[in-house]
Order: sequence, then C-alpha cells, then structure tokens
Amino acid sequence: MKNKYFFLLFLIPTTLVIFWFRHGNILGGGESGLPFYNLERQYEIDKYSWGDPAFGNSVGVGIAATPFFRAASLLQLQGIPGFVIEALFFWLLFVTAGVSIWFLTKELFPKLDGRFLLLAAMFYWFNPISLVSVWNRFLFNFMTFWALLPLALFLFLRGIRKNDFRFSLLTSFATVIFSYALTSTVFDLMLWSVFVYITVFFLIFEKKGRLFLIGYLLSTFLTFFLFNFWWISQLFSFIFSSGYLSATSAFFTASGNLATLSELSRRLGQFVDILRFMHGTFFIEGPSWAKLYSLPFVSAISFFAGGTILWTLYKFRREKEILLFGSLFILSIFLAKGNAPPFGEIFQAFFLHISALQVFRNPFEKFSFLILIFSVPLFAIGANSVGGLIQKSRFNRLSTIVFFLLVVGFWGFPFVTGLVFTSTEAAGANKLRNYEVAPPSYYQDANNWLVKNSDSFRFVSLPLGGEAMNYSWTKSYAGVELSSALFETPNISFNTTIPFYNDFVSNLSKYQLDQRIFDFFPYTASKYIVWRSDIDFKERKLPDPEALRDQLEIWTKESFLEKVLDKGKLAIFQINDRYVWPKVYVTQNILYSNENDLSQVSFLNKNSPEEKTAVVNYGGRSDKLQTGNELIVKSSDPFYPIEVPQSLSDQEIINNLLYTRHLPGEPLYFLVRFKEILDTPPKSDFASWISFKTGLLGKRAVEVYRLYTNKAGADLISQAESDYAKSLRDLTPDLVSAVRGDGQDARYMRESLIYQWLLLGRVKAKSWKALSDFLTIAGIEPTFSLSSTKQGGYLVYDFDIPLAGVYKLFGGDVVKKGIYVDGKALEQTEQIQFAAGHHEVAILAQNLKTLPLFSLDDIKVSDNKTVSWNVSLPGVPQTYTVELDFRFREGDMFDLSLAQNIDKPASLIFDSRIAKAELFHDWSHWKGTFTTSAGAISGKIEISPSVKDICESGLLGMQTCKKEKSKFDVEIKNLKITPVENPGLLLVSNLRPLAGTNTLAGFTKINPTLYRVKISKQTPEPEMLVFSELFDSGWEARIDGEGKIPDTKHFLVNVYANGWLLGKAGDYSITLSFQPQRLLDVAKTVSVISLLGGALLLGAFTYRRRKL
Amino acid sequence: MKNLNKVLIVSLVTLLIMALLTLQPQLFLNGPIFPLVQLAYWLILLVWIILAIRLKFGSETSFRFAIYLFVIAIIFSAINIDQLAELALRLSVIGWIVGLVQAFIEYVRSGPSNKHA
Repeated sequence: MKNKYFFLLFLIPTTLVIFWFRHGNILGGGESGLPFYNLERQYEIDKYSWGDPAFGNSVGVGIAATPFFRAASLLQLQGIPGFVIEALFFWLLFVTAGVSIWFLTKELFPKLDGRFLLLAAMFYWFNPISLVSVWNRFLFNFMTFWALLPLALFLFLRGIRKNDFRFSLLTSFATVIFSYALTSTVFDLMLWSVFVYITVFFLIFEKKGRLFLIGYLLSTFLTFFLFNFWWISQLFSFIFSSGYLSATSAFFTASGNLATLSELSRRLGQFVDILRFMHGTFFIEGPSWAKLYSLPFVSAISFFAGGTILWTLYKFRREKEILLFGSLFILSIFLAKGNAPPFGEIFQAFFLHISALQVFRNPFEKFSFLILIFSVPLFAIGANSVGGLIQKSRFNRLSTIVFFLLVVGFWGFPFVTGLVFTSTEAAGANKLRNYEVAPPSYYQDANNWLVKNSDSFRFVSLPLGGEAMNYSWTKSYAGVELSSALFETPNISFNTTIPFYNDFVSNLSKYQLDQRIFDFFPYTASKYIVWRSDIDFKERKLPDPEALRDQLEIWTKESFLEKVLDKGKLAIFQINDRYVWPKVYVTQNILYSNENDLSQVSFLNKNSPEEKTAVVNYGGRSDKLQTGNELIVKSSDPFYPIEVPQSLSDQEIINNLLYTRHLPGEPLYFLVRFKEILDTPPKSDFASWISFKTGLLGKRAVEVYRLYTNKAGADLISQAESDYAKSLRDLTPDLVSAVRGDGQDARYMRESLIYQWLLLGRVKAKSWKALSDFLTIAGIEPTFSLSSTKQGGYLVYDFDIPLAGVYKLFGGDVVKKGIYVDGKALEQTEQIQFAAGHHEVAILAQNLKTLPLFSLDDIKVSDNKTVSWNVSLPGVPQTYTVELDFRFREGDMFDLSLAQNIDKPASLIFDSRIAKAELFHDWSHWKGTFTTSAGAISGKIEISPSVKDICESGLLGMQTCKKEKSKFDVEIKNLKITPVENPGLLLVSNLRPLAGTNTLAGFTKINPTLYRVKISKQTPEPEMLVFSELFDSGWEARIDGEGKIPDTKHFLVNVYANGWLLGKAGDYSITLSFQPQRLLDVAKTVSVISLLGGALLLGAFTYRRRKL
Repeated sequence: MKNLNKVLIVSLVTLLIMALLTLQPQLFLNGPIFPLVQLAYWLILLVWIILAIRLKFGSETSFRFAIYLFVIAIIFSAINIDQLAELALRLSVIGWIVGLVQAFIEYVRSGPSNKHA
C-alpha cells in the first residue's frame, strides 16, 4: 500500500492502546466480566458443550468464543500478562476495522483520495455508536462484531464485483477467525441479511452474471456453515434442549417482549438521536462528560454526519454504490428505531408474527452497527464532494480539516482521553468509575487453596446476591459477579435467570443469616463457604458481611463450620461433613414434591442430613409416584376471595360498570363498537389496554343484562351472549395474570369482574358459567362456596392433588382450627382423604392475626419536626402492609420511609410519598406494602419532608436543578406496619416408610461432560441416582453393557439436579454423559476438514488464476 | 392520461388500506396495536407519492425537500425544541425514502453515472 496515510491505521491504534493500558491493569466490567484475568479458566469453561460454573450449564453458542480463548490463553501461558493480551486484542480490532473500512471505501470509490479513506476509517472508529454500543458497553463479542462487519462486507462485496469465488471462501474464513462475534445469534442474522440484500440488489441491477451471484451466495453460505459447524451444531442442540424451552417459557413472553420493544423504541428510536448517531439516553443520563454532547448547540453539531450523508444521497443518487449503501442506510435507521413512528407498525407486525425476531427487543443496540457501516462510505464521499464545492484549494483543504476535527476532535474526544472506558459510580451519581480493574492477590491465594482442597466439591459464597456485583478494590469493579473467573472451583456465588438454578438459589439466598441455610447445603455438593467483605453490599442490597461473619462465627462455635483459611478480605469455612453430600449419590429416601424451598420439606426426613434424600419434582409425572416415600403437595399462592356484595340492587351494580346507551340491534350500535376500536389504547401499553378491555367486557355484560330485561329477541340475546363469551375467552390469557396483585388496577379489574358476575347471574345468562369458571381460575373466587363471615373472610389455597390418598396438613399452629376443605369444615388435620384433582383448603383470616412490627396511635409531624423509630427486622424476606390515617394542616405532601441496615440512602426498600388529594382535605386513609430483603436485620422508619427538584434554564439552555424540601404539617393516626402472614400449607401423604440406604456409589469425573459411576446395590428396591449438575434433557445415564436408562426415569430432583430411578441390584457401572458433546466432537472434525479443504481450494484457485 | 392518474391514485389508496389490514388483522378484533395518529405518516407518504406522480417531480425535488426539512430540524434542535426537530426529521426521512425509490427508478430508466467508479 503506497498511500502515505495508510500507516496511520496502525499508528493511531498503537498510540491509543498504549495510553489506555499505561497503568498495567486489565479493563473489565459490565456484562463481559473479567475474562482476561484468567484466560485459561475461560477457555476451560467454554471448550466443552457443558461448562462447570455454578451448577453447570449448556455452553450453547458460547462455544464460538473457544478459538479466541484458546489463542489468548496460550499467550498467557507464555507469561504474557492479561492486560497486554487485552491491549493486543483491542489493537487488532481497531486495525482490522480501520484497514477493512479503508479497503471497503476504496472498493466502492476507487478514485477517492487517501485522506478521505483515512477519514472513513476514523469515522468508523470514533463515532457515538462505536462509543456507546461497542466500547463503553464493553461486551467483547460486540467489539469483535464491530471489527468483523467491515471485513466481511469488504470481502463479500469484492468477490461480487470481481466475479471471484475465492472471496466467498475468504469471507467464511474471516467469520471463523472472528467467531467470538457470532456468540450472539442476532449478529449472525444481521450479517446474513446484509449478504442476501446485497446479492438481491446486484441480481436486480446487474443483468450479467446472475448465475454467478446465486452461486456466490450459496458458496458463501455453504462454507460459512461448514467452517463454523462446530458452534452451529451447539446452537441447534441448545435450541432443541429442555434448558432453552424452560428459559424461554419462564423468562420471556410475547407481550413482555413487545412491552420492552415499545419502551426501548420510545426512548432510543427518535430520529433526532439516530441521525446524530447518538444513543437516546446515554448522553442525557450517562457519565458527566457524555452530557456535554446534549447541550443544545453542541447537539446540533452532531448532525454534520447525517447531513453529509443526505447530501451524498442527493448529489450522487445516480450511482449504483450510492443507491446500494443509501438504501441500506435508510433501512437500518428504520430498523434501529423499532416500532417508533413513522411506519413502526411494519416492524411491530414482523416482530409479533415471527417469534425468532423477538431477539431484536432492543433494536437500536443491534441495528446501530448497520447504520454505522453503511454510513461510512457515504460520509467519506460526501466529505470529499463538500470540499470539491469550494474551488480555492486552501478552502478545500480547510473543509477537510474541519471534517477531521469534527470526527477526531469532537467525536473522538472520549477515545483520546480514555473517558470512553468510564461510567458513573452509581445510577444518578456524577463520580466516574474507570474500567481498570486489579483483583487483590488474596484471591489468587484462596483460589490455590481451594484447587488443592476442594476435590469435586463446590463452595457457596456469602453474601450471595444477583448477577451483578460491586467489588470495593483499589481499582474497583462493577459488573457481573466474578467468582467464576476468580476461582477455578465451581461455586454458587450469584443468582441469575437460569431455569432451575434460579429456583434453588432464590430460596437458598433467603436464609443467609438463618440456620435453615444448612437444609440447602447438602443438595449443592458444597464443602466450603467463602465469606467476602470486599464488596459494596449496600449497592446490591446484600446482607452486611460483618453481620454474616458474626453468624458464621456462631455456627463455628456450634460445630456446624470450621474456619480453614483467612486471607485478606476473604475467609473460608469448611462445612461439617454431615452436611456435605457428594455430587453423585444414591438414595432410597424419595420425596415427591412441587415445593422449591427445600427447608420446608427437609423436616420430613428425620434422619437428614445423615441419611441422604432426593426431592423429586413430580410436575406432570404422576406415573412413578408410588416409588416415593412421601408425596408433598404445595398449594398455589393463596388468595383472599372478594366479599360478593349480594345485597346491591341491579342498578347499583350497573352503576359500577361502563355506561351503555345503545344496545345491539339498534341502528347506531355499530358506531359504539367503532368508537371502542378508536378508543382502545395500544396493546404495547399493556396496563391501560387490559384495564380498558376489562371495562369493555363489563359493557358487554350490561348489554346482555339489558337485552334480557328488555325481553329482546332470542337471536339478539344469543348473539350478545356469544359476543361476551368470546371477549372473555380472548382476554383470558392476559387477564388471568393481570388481576393478581395488590395494585389499584388489579383491584379495579377484580371488582369489575365480580359486578359482571353478579349482573349476569341476576338474569341467569348463559355466559355466567364461563365467568364463574374464569373467577376460580384467576383466583378471585373459590370453586367451593364458603359460608359468610364477618371476621376478615378466608384465605384460600388451591391444591392440585396428583394421587388419591390420605394426607396430613402441615402449616404451623394457625391451621389447627377454622379449616375448610372444599367448602366443608374440617374436624382434624391428621388424616384427610383426597381424591386426585383440584381441591381447596380455606382458613379463617382471623386466625392469622399477628403482632404489628410497629404501631402508633396519634402523632403530629411537620417539616420542622421529622420523626424516626428503629425497628428489628427478621433477616429473611417478609412482606408488610403499612396503613395510616392522615390530615394535612399545612402543605400537601410528606415522605414515609423504611431504611434497612443494608440500604443505600438513595434506594430505600420502602419510600412512599403521601400527598393530599386535590379535592378532599379531611382525614384520609393510606395503605401500601413492601417486602424486606434477605439479610436485613434492622431498619429505621422515618417521616420526613418530600424532596422536589426545582430546575431553571440557564446559559445555552443548560438546566440547573436544586433539591428543595417541601413544607408540611400533618396529623397522623393509626400508623401500623403489620407482617402479611400467608403461612405455606403442605399436604403430605405417606406412601412407604423412609429407610436407610445401603447402596454405594463412587464416581470419577472424566471431564465436565462425562462421569463414570460405580454402583453396588443390594436390593432391587427403586432408588434414585442423583447427579448434582443442572437438569438438562441432554444428560444421559447408560448402564454399561445394558444401555440407556429410559427418559421416563430421568427426573428433575432437588429443584435443579438430574435423577434417574434405579432398580437393578448388583455391582455395575453407569456412564453419565452430556449428549451435545458427542455432536460437538463430530462437528469439530467436520469444521477442521472443511477449513483444510477450503484452504486447499483457495490455493488451487489462486494458482489457476496466476497461471491464466 | 387523466384516467390513468385516477386509476393510479385509486390503486395506491387500495393498496395502502390492504397493506394496513394485512399487517394488522387484529385491528378490528382486539383494537389497534398502535395509536391511530400514526396513520398520518402513511397519509403523508401517500400524498408525497401522489404529488410526485401528478406534478412529475423526480428524486431531486424529493431530496431537496428532505434537505430543507433536515435543516429546519437542525435549527429546532439547536434551540432545544427537540419535539419539532423530531417531527421535521420524520417528514425529512419520508422524503429520503421517496427520493431513494425515485432514484432507483431513474437509475433503471436512464442508466448509471460513474463519477467515482
């Protein structure tokens, strides 16, 4: 390359990475964690189809990152520090992106001067999209895709323009080298959509070589598929696994995805941001330096790029390359704005009808990559032509300098200062946190000790929180919890949305300060507790490490634990052997249950933990229940039925429903329905939509009632009845979940349905039955009627009994009296006969009354005299209701709050603003609820002035805000904070006596996907072989010499693990293996052979071309 | 020619309504899934296309309008009236779309220009 500017594509990245890594620290944070801390560990996690962190998990498409981690770990094994490898990685990405952009732009516009090719590369490096979506976001696969995209696009396009098949091979080779980018399937979809669009474009506009174009696309696809088959196989294997099914059904719904899409489209899909290449919220809510770009005049400067591109489109609209990139640019800005107007309906229609497209819930995050790549050549050519408009050469040069200043100086400022790698310390804070991280050396010491001593056991970290963690190190860290990177020993150190894992850890983490945590340890195959105090526990609402340490010391004195290591801010406690069960064990003690909180069922095995137990989830599998010892049935969440106001007159009921003037059959009725359509809020605003639809349902009920009472024709009544039934049926899936909860909307909808039910009942309408069924399904009314009571009503529990038999009711002292089963009073709770199917247990609410946490009869408070009281909290999560009566003597608002000992002042667990109503100023009642956090042991209730933001516009439209306390003087009566007592009820049926297990099981771990188990079983009695890795249908147990244990005997046990029913007596071996690994081994071979074949083919093609 | 124009306009309106109904069959079942005010943008698009056909202006005019609207948006943005800036940009982008489609048609009809090739 002879161009004198070309060397800058290497010099600038070199200078930047030297500057960024000058302190010798690795950079990390956010969702990527800290892979450069221990690259070998990262490679070990990713190289098999099953990774061992936590309870283990399918690696899936994540395996695409393996080549990168292999190469990087080899460098680290040579003694090269992690920060140097990370710097090299960044350098490589910048150089690849820059050089690719240079050649891509040159390919499109060969006559373009080198200065503008350099400008194009710099534009790609330093622009707000790269800044926010790539480098500040700090996701390594996003960074890699950022570099791969221009390279792949250049190679693919060059092949088309040169009619050269070799470039299809080179394109696919590039995707293998940068396969880390493809760990996000969204990027695969985007890359292939671009390839297909380009091919179709050339098919339409190039009359020659159409056969070549089709062949070229197919060749690229085939080689891409074969070269990348190793990770594509895992992607498909994961999509068809039970884990994927559970994750999508538990955590994603179409309405949830639509709500996310609508909200993000509203916030990030404005053209005023997109055409400035800016993220809608980052530059307003982000770090202090980012806010400078939002100043009114400054923000207008950012239009220079969009304006230049528009100019290019206008000026050179007759050129094919401009039309290609121009159309792609317009298309990408439309995709990036999601369902925001204009024409967002098209995006939304595809989004709703093609479920695979729901991965684009955050369209700006993904499609902004396309905006960027398609804008670069257009910008470069535009910048060149703007200069060309000015004839005098010095002004021409000046315009070029201005463009460079705008790109490098204006947009590049956060890059050249290193600010790109900073974020705010906490939401709303101004202090910056640098991404530089330096984990203390005591982590290395603790890791070495654990590697030496943990054998095949795990450990549990305390305090235990969610996915994110703030470490208070000298160079602090905020991002995903790091224990999987810091320790080579598998551990339970965070909670996340992995199915089954989440069920188990959510319950375990409730009891961090409670001895019931020992009910969980045996099931985790953990031998140690790692206590840590170098975390910002208040930022994440975790138990106070010091309170935990005190508790651990108490348990140590009681011989539950033994301290074995104390290093820096870490301490390791060994759990008493009685509570340590191996990862693989066999037990005859089988409890079938649908209860996920193991502390609630452990009491049934009196010999636990010495005798091992398997708690089997029987969900949908009642065929094997006879093999168990106990059957434990937990109810769904209990509910308080609404007191039905039977005494109301028909007109009083109608007054509580929507007004109807015109009835079906009247000439203007169609206008009523048309108006309803126009008035209906969009479904993306789900809360308003469901409230409105419930209101309309009430209107339909009134219509049915009035047609009956008006003695309308049978056809009209029948039509109105079926209209009501259909509306209810269509609404049922959304309404069932919407009517649950304590919110005002949910209460309004429940009451509306009760009024409809009463009204339809008064005229004996046919649709009354459908509504009755709905009310029981939705937990609004019991199936079995209960006698009226004036003492607070009943609390109703729904039980689905899988097996007929005699059951005993457990649930604490409160259920000794006043119990009703299927509407009938119960004499005793020891032996209750149940048939299989749905049953209801109701208890009198008056028996549940508990002592309030806090109560106060009468007090006067003003802004001059704020008050507070200290209270003790239970340490495990507990829901409370807060009630009070108030009357303002002055002012119109105050705050009532509860600060737990683990809360930050800015994020209290309960902080409500109580305000005077607009029209009613006498005594008012206020009610709210809150749930305390795990580990909260004390709190402070406070009544204080509300703080308001008072903002003024200043110079350049910049707003300055100050906080001001509101003045108030209020009388308060009957302030009461009361625990909500909904005791968990269990029905337990004894199937056969619990017995000791004599079967021996020893195991050897070959690798994370393969275990060999030796069984010595003396009787043919059914026993459960428990394998304490995360349940997945991919796990298979095979008795050597006999074959696979059938899937019908593969169970979800202990809430998260795998279990197989064993019947065979004798000494034999069992192989436990994760099936996708077998596919991976084959797929790897296919990919290696294909890559070699591809390389040979490339060589042959090149040789032939040269010869010609 | 007049008849042809009428046929064209009627066809375009019919197509638009059909497209909307196809994309949103639930419009008349569960109510609209987007505010009806958004239909205004479809109407503007339609009007722009009709004007382009009737007044026989090409991509150059559409792009010019788009540029004017873009400049207006910049002015609104500079004085911190982002809502009007957004509105101007939405109209501008509609102009870009129409202009681009016209440019495609012109390219097919009269061939490429290869200034930079």
